[in-house]
Amino acid sequence: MTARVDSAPADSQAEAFKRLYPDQYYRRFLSQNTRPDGRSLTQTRPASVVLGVITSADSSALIKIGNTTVIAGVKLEVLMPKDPPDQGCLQVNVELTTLCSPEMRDNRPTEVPSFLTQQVDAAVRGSSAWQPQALCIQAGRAAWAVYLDLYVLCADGVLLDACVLAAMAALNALRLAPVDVTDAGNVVAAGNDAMTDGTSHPQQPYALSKQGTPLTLTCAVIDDRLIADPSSEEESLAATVVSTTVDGQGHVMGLQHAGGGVELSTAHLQQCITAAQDRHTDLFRVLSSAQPPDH
Amino acid sequence: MLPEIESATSRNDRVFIVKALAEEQRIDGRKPFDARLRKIQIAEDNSGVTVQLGDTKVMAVITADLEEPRADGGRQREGSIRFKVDVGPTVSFAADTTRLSEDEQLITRLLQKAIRNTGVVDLEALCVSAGRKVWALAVYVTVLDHAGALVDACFLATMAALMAHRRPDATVDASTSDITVHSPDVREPVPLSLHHTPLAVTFALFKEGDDLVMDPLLKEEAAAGGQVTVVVNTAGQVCAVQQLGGLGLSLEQVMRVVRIAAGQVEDAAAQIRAALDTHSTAQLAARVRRQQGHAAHAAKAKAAAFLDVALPPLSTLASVAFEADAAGPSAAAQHQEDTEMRMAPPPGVPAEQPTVVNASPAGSTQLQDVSDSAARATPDASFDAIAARIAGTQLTSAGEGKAVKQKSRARNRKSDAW
Amino acid sequence: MELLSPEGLRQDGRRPRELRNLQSAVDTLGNADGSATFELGNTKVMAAVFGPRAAQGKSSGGRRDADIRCEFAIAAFSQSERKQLSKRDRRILEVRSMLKEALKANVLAELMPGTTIDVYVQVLAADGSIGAASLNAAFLAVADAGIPVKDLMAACVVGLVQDTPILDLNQMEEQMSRGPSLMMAMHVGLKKIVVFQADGRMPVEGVETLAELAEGGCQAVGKAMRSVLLDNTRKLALARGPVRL
Repeated sequence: MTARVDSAPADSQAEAFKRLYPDQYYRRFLSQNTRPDGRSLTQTRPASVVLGVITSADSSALIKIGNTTVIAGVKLEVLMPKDPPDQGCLQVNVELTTLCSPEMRDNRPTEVPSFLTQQVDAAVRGSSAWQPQALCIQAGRAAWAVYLDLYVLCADGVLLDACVLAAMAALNALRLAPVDVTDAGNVVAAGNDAMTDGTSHPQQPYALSKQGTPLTLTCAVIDDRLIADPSSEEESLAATVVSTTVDGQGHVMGLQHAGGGVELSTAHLQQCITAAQDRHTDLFRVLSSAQPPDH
Repeated sequence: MLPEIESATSRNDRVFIVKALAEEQRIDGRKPFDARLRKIQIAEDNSGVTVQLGDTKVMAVITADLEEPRADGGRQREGSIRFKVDVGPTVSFAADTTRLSEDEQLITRLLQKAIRNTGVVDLEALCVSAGRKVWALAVYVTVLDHAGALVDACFLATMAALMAHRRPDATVDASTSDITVHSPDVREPVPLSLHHTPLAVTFALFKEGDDLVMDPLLKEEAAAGGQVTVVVNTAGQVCAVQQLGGLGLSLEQVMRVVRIAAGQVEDAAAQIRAALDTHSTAQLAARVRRQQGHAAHAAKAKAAAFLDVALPPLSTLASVAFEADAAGPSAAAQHQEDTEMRMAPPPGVPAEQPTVVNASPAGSTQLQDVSDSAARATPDASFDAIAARIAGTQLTSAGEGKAVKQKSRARNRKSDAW
Repeated sequence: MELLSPEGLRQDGRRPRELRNLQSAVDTLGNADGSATFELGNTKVMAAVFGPRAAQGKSSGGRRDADIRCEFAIAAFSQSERKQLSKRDRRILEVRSMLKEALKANVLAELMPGTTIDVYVQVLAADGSIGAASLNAAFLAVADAGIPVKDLMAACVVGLVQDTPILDLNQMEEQMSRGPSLMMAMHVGLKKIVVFQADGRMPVEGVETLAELAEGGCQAVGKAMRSVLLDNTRKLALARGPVRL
């Protein structure tokens, strides 16, 4: 360190070092088995879920994992099903808003949003919660189309984890009003159900099943160490990241690892899966207790 | 509006402009509320209009297409109108393309708000067949030269174009429901039904909003602290006000601008009307000349007979009219056969005589052209009716010289006759 | 459907000069230098500010003041019907220009030469008055970023319905009202108007009536924004250590 830096106060000295030599700065923490924000290598950030934040959407969820903030909104439409005629459809779209990071401008490369879109789409469709037949209103004539839009408002690592969590939160909170289609093609509220004891009562809004909710944990690999739930700075220092999606019932639903010139052993992968399963327990608890905001 | 102008306009320029304003002087010699010279030229086929506001030059072209109306129930009987403004990079010495496209959007939005949303064009009158076909108008505004007050020039061009526009007449056959669009030669094209005439007045603001200049030059816009555009119609109703950023104004200052603007559009509107009048005169002359050519051949023989009897001096429309009347039914038949305009047949002509006399300059212009042809009797009768529709002409700078000469020649002839 | 009942109440039960429930917060996003959320009834807008930072873009360097850039976007689920608006959509470009001009009039850009200030606004839920809500969110984010400004800037929308001036129009009132409307933003302390966008046919006096109501509306909104900013400052001051305010 030069004399100039030495004479500056301690925190700006650290800041300067961090700016000039980010990887060395980080390794100093790593050597002590800790991270700059004080977490241990396997410690994940707390997540929060708030439902019903967007009144114009049929269901919505605002997710925060540390600073990473994602908002998901579902809009329903009744469409004529194409093929197969007795199933609804799903369209997922993830966008990184300009707000999410200092480097974002409208003309930035777009492989990250399309990657996230693809992953979230696969996660939802792969889960046992997703039953397209349940979205059918009248075979061949009408079925629900579910439009799931996700916007990343702040990007501080683990975008995939946050998007999957937001998507599942919004879908779990979704209620499909029972409807019928008239001969003229208008969608109307469904009539009452006739019960076996002769009474009738209005149908309940239908909800997608909560069982088998897929949730993801991303881990970064830095210097051959596995760092769970990395921040964006840590992700930028990592040789590679591994994202593991589990469904909480012992099944691994997805494992994403994109090269990076690092060879991962099976032990590493097993570690990732175990960590993901632990994370699933935490996140699922948060998800189940999620409430709409007080106002 | 263009920030790059700021760098292209020197600091000395700006200081000078502000100082001169303190003595109510502008750099082009105008007073603060003087507008620049306006020139309005209407294309011969009524398709478009080019206007000049000082050196700012804008062209507006209107196209009309038959389309299906909008799907939602209430709009089945309405046509539509949309605007597109194009400001190319060649329009100014300090053009920046991103900024220009922002200007394009802003002006387009202002045109939409002040013209379409306030119901200038009667959209129901554009309906041909409810639910099936309506006229969809598209107004293309192209800026050719930007020398300040672009919004004002765009509005002037758009309103003049709307007033000059003639769309083809379309009829629906009651029995077969077929739609026929008539060509201009068969049925006269129809003007648009317009409810009011909004025009824009832009002010540049100086000295904390206390000093205003109307119709600013580009340099004045650069030196100004801010700008306000007020769109107001000839009835004094405000159609839009736009102030974006720049100097903060107090409510009193804003209202002062709005009030001044309310009294400023009548001149511009009158100029449009004058240009339209001259244009329709010229149109009729051209049309008659064309029909002259068609009619001459067939009518020559018969008309010659009438002329031998009448031998009127050329400028005396009244006597010609009487002669045509005296010639009887054959003249009427001739008249109808030769001209495609269903003008008033001879019996109706004497009643129009007084107005014919008043409009003599216009009538005389046409007579100049007709004098060579032997078939002038029949066209004269139709001229009476045409001339009767023209009430007072003012001349634009373009055709002024020629028309004045014709006017004086005709006037001399007329006095001889009487 | 009548927008104003015979008793003078609007569709959502408000009186003509009543603002909807206003909620706002600053410092809501970790990555941005300044961020804010602004809610007016069901309209919800989020803004983030990055800057002042080293000049970005080729036109920014060498300027004698800060280069203020804006971006504006509307979420697909924000309106009653799902709609994905492209960046080139005219309404988006119009609001973007308005935000930029208003902020240029508000920020003391000459104090930060050669820098860029990026202001990004995202509408999450749209229920009328989104231009005004966006500007309010943007201002709060700018203030949260600590950028010097001339004065507190607040905006609101007013309209004329059945000859009655009403304040803070929601989506239904905006779409169904055939009367004139006015969006105004002003520096509340200096009492200077920085954005004035009026449309619709009205006599000159009508403009004045709407403008007076809008002034009152902006003052009310400004008051709420000021208290949010003060609370945040108190919180920050306390975090730095024991301090008397």
